[in-house]
Amino acid sequence: MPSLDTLEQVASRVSRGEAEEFQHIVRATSARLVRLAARILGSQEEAEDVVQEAYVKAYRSLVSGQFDGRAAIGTWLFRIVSNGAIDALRSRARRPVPTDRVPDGQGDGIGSAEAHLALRELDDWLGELPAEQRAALVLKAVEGLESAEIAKILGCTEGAVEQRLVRARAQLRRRRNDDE
Amino acid sequence: MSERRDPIEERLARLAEATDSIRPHPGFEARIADAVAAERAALSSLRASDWVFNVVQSGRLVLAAAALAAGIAVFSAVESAAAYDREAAVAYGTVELGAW
Repeated sequence: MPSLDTLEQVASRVSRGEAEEFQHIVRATSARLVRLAARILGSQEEAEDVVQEAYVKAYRSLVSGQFDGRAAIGTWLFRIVSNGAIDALRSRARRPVPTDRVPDGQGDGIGSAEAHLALRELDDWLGELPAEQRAALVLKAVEGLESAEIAKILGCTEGAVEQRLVRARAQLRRRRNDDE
Repeated sequence: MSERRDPIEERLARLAEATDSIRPHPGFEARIADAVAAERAALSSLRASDWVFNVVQSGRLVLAAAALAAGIAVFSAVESAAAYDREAAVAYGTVELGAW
């Protein structure tokens, strides 16, 4: 399996028509991408759907020569997945998930029961935030990325990222004060 | 003196750690491979239909060029027939000097 350093070389082989090489990219990145999407969405099932769609988009871009190689493959995939998760959150807001939905249980996906409870807690807690603020907060405080990287991923300026973070934290603080 | 952390940051850090063990379902990579194979097939059929479209488009161009060439050929045939008739009319009733 190629290391993360060679993903660009693998991507260039895919764009030259060696389609089977794409599986190396999937193997090297899927765990991190599913975890990222699950943290933004608070659901592993939705996360896997978003990541699947992201890989199909990435493959299409590689073979059609639309990927210009300006960003590292990892950052580019993070961007596609984050945007997919934001879109999923928006469509969830337009068509709310029924309150009696079947919860992501222990047998649903890989990870401890504690991890799935934590995902649920994250979803409930961040549920009221607008999708972009929620994604920025997860990328910063949960994934541990720098604002400059988050700006590249979300396709905005560092200032816009900081603004989203300040607003998200202020809303969470307000809610906490209301609850107390 | 210990610094008291923001409760929001503390909760986010706890949830980050607690969700660290999240991994895709077994078989997720195979699912992606199937989705990518389906996309690949769709792209090839799109390319094939593009090829047919291009052939039809070039066929139309060839047809238009052939019609134009046929028109020019008919026009020049009519013109040369008319020129021949004019020459024949002038020549009729004249005396060939060579016969002297």
